[in-house]
Amino acid sequence: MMIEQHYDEEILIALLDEQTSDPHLQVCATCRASMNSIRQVTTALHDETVWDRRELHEEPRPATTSSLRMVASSVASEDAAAEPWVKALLARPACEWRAMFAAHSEWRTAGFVRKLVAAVDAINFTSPADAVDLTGIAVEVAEGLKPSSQRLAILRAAALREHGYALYYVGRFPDAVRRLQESADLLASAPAGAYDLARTRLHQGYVFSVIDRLGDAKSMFDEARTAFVEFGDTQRRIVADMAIGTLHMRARRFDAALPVMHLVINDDCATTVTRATAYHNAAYCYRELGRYSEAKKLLASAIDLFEQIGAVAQRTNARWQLSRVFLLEGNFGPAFELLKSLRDEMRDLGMAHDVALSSIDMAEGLLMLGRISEVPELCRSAMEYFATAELTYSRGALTAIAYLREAAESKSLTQSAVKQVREFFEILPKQPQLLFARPA
Amino acid sequence: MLETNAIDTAGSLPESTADVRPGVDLGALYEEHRDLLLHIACRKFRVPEQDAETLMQEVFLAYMESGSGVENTRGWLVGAMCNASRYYWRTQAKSESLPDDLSQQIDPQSHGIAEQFATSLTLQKAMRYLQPRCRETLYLHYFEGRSAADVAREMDTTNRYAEKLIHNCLKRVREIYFSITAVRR
Repeated sequence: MMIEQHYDEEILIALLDEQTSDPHLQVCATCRASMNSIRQVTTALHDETVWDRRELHEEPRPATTSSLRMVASSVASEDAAAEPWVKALLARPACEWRAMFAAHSEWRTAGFVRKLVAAVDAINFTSPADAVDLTGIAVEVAEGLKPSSQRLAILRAAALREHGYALYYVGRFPDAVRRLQESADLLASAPAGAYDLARTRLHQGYVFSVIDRLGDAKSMFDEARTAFVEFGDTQRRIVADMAIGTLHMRARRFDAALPVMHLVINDDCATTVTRATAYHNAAYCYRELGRYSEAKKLLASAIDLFEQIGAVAQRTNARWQLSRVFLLEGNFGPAFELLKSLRDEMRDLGMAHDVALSSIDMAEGLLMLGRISEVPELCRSAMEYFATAELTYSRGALTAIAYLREAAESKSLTQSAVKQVREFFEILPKQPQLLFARPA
Repeated sequence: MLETNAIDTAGSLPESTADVRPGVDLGALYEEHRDLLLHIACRKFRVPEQDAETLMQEVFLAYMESGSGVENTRGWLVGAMCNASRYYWRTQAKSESLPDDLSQQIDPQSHGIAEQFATSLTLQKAMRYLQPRCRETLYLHYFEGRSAADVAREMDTTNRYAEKLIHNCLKRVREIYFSITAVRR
């Protein structure tokens, strides 16, 4: 049996000032941990607070303890009272909310605001317009609360932040910018508002990035990230990292985005869904940089992780990106087969817009495979699907696909025309009234 | 513009906002963390003790209002105390001069800030149990950054003995440090 030898404290202290790394420390985790523990102390000895000899009143003050408990208990009572009110409100159709709220002056409490704001998260994603109304009510109540205190300022700022986020979600960007700025102003003047300010900054960053104020967005994300690090909030710090990476992608700075995405991939604290998303986004960057084999490798990891957690739509998305890489590297056969199975998945998942885009990708695959005669049928079935999907931009979409079909029928379809149709489809969700201009 | 099949992150926020944390005894939390927060405000940021107590209350009330999504309570409280102390000096600066090095009080890029403060607090306590000569040795070598030869000159002894003194004092302060943290556990 081999007995493992370790350095004692004496030797480790002697090694503290050595410039070169000791060979044993490089291989022995136990000694490395002991060394780190010694370093933790020597590093702290550089800190002036260690040498501060002032005596502070170390015992907690009973008056503070009881005052905090009193506030917490009154907040809990407020919340308990507000819970059934919010349930009653949400049980009614959204169009009745305003009138119902107006009929209950007793609802104008901080507890009601907190419960509304807590309830709005789910609604944001299922019924964004209702989230705007609900957070609007929360802001109205919060703004009328008296007396003013830091605690109420933070609550008011939370209501404004959620209202701003809801407005962003429905595309009312100037209103979102205004509300989020109001939230930030309130928090900047609260002594302990820095954490909530960071959360507002994150939302401001999202809005700025969609309205192409990329420099402002970057400042917001950086500020939020710094604060989350300071507050020891790992998950939100990772969200800020992802936001910064995505911002680089939006600005087409793929070289800058890649290290950020790899940072998240290698972050032990990242959740599976975040890591999978980082794999996916890094793959996108590699694809844009023309590094297809790295893109495929990372997409395989993303697909695997999305599969593990049952994130079906994201897995479909990652597989779709893989098919796009196949198309770009001229691997048209596998790309077409993958797209065919994806289109069925997207139909099952109700991803109407993606069905259209994948149909265009399939048309490109068929064109490059010399199977142009199959394109009209592909377009016909996509048009049928669109006619029933009731998208707000169906008219423009149908015109564009009809053009693809006609061009294929007349054998005049080119790869650049397919790309033009695809670009049109990329813009459509943001500009639903846009009409398709046929290529010259 | 990003293609639609690149994943944006706005939808993946670990949100939920203003639901007050249920079942948290704010008084007990204050009693548990007061010592550390006071150390930060008074010793790191030089906030007067009376004002630090008021700031601390604001920090705990903000903690209660900040929702149930806080991941790391001690980290959160430490971050909030640092920021509240900076806020204090920003508002005080209208009538008083700011400490010169306020902006350098903390490195926001460093991880485990709460851990660093907890270590410095424990060492500050450990210093009380250390012999004055030992304290002086560590102060000269680690805080002032003097070499062993310098320490030897200052303490009127040989280089070799000064080196030994530095090693022994470091060992001793670590012993006290561990006995304090063991009691706390």
